[in-house]
Amino acid sequence: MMETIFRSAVNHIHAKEDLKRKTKDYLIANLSITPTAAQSKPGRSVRQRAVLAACTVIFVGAISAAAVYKTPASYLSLDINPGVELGVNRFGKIVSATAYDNAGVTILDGQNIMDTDVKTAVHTLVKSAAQKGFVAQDGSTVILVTSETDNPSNAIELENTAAQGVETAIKSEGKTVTISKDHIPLEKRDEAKKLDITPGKLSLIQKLQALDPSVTVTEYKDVKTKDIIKKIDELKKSENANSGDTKDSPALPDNSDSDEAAGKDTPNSPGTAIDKNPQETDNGNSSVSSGESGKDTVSSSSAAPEKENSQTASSKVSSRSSSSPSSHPKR
Amino acid sequence: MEKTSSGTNDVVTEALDKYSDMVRRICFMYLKSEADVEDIFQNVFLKLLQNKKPFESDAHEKAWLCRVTINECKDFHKSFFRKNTCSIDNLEIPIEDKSEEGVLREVLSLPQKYRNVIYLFYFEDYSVPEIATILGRNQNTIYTHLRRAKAILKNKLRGFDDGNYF
Repeated sequence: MMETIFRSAVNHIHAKEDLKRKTKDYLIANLSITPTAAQSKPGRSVRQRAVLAACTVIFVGAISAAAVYKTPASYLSLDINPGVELGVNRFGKIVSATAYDNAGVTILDGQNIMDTDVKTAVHTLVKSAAQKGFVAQDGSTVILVTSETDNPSNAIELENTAAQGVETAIKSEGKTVTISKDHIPLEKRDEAKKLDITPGKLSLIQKLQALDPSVTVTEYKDVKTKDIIKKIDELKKSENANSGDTKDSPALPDNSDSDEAAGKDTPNSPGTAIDKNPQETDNGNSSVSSGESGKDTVSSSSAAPEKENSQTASSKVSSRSSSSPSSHPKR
Repeated sequence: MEKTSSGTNDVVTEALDKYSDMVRRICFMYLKSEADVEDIFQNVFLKLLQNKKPFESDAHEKAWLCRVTINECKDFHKSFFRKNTCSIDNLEIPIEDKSEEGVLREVLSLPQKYRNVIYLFYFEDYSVPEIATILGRNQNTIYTHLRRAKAILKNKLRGFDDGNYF
């Protein structure tokens, strides 16, 4: 019964005509003219649009900034014999690391070098290489750091920073190595990638090819960096001997092949290094001797002042970058 | 232009004819002032006419409108300027029958959550699962609210002769 009474009571509640009329006027005034448009949602307010635009700008900006940060502006090839290539962004941070061989994978394994600076990354990798047995105790190892960029000033900075990283790592491990620095333009990097070798090694092989055109990349692809350098030394020495030039200077990475071929530019440190720390060379007795003679020659040729990007690492000699074609042998 | 303007007019008139009483009754369960009802009316019907999603059926449309009206009423009560609501005693109920008025007044004096359930269950004839869907609550909660509301009303309406309560 209560239910019936309740129903009956509620049935007395009606919307008054006046209320309906007011509501109708309001709706017609607030709805669009056409029924279809009337049923569409109202447009966003100016404030909502502004917030949406601001969010879009922030989102796009963040994405762009992240993309710029993650994009390498230059590369650094590190040839110990494990070959590793590091991508460096415009802020000098490591954003990529690629191993060129299994040994490269080994030294990268377990190392967190992303977002670190070049010196720290190189230090970490060289230390890793030393601890994993890729750096010889006798000091015969040559570490080649090659900057890959089209910006010469950036190249020099990159090489020097990387060389510092190598130096500190080698010192901390109580070993000695020869550091060799080189610079190549980015187009050579693409060529090296096609051949599946590090750009630094390709640059060395090309120098060797300049001295001996019979040399092929495939032939020297898996040869150690130090052996390629020795070979270059040998060839230069014999070339100089043939031309009767008493100035014999050991080979070193150099982009100026013509200069090098003419015997003008043979920046080197391996030679000097050999002097101080006799290297063991399986195929390189001549290399050792060439190094010695090279050193002697260099010592006597004080007429050409030395200006090279070389550094000593752990009391050993490092070599120069080929970015300055007019560089001279290191004393 | 004349035709389109007339089209809007028809849509509005149809919506008001169809649902104005139901919206008014729900508003009555919540609001005490005619002026407040007017605001709710305008908002509810504007939402209905601006709704782009097609309804599956008339029942779906009705349930949607119930939900929107209840939400509008709740939002209205939450607003800062409406915190001070007038007493149920001052409410003018346009019913002459004393027993009907008495029952309605007791229903209106129930807590809001019970009022919803009583109205939807006894007047709109919705089942408990349907009420649960409209109010977005658990079915068991609706059963509980219904049982408690009935218990309160039974207690308050004890003086009625036939003893048949809700």
